[in-house]
Amino acid sequence: MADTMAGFSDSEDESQELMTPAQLIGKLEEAWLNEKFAPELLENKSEIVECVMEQLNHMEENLQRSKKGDLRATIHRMETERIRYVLSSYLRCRLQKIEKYFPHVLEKEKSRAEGEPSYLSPEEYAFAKEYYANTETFLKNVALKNMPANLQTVDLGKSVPKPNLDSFVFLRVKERQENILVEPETDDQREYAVDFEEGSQHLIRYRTVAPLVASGAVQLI
Amino acid sequence: MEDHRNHRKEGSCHRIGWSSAVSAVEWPNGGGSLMVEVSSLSTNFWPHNAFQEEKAAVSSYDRLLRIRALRWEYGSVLPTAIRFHMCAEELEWFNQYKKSLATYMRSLGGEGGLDITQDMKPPKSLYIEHFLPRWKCEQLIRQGVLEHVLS
Repeated sequence: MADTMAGFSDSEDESQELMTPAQLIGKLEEAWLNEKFAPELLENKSEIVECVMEQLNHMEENLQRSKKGDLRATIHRMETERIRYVLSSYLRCRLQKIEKYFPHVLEKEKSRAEGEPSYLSPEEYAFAKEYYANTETFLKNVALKNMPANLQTVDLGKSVPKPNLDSFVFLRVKERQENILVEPETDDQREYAVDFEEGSQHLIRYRTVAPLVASGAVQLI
Repeated sequence: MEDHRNHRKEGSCHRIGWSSAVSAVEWPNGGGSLMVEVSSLSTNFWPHNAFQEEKAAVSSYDRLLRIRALRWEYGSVLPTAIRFHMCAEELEWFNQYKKSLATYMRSLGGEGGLDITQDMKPPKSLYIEHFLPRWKCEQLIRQGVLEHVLS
């Protein structure tokens, strides 16, 4: 696709690395798969989202100008639909996790240290706060109003379950890792270390590899 | 089946849930049923211990999750028949939720935003009847305004 996108120009500022459109979509797909298979909400990739939206708008403009019935236009439109699907699916996945774990997501964001990357984009943070307030109001008005006993507040942090970081995930190794410590499953076992060879695939508990997913050393599949 | 409409009062969402017989509502497209909880106890039952209170809170929250799903299934305008089964607080929650969602979607990207309640399935075929592109009428098909004709 990169060579047919002659009109595309990178409008990112100099401080960011330049990517071809193909690389950008590749990064979007990686972020999408990671988000789909990780039990918890991952770091937000706002830069990728913004660039992809720019590219989509650009492609749409090109399509408006092109001749109707042109074969290339049809192919480009199919590509636009594919990209829009992946982007929408990625954002939906994140929103679902935000809603599912909303007290914990907000707590994590509040207790984040200065300089640490944010898990929520500013817009997602606003959405999460509104969701929390809305749900809290509802529960107070409906579930608690008519109860004789004094259930003062519902502690949403305790009632809403946390993501299960011990769930198993499939991954493919992108950057070689040494001495990954695997926790024992039963009492008879002991912990042992494995090396992750580049290109190898593994089934392992998410908790063990969470930092590797964040750094991009492994790809969830 | 008892007519639970007569029991409906201001802010009586809780009462609807517990004092009516089962009223199961199935919607087309299998789009999730908004069920009123069955109560094995008599009308005007009031939870008066911790277990019943917790059950009430859980069933309220469970309904909320299903109402949330309605926004993604039906769009921002709910069919009247569904709205009838929601109490004032649930309607208020729904309105706030769809406002939050709309604000979020508008904020995506530089201009105009992105409607992520569309494109729910990966694209397979491109056009419908060769003159209306799928991406233009997806929502309308789900709402039943348009029909996908296969010839």
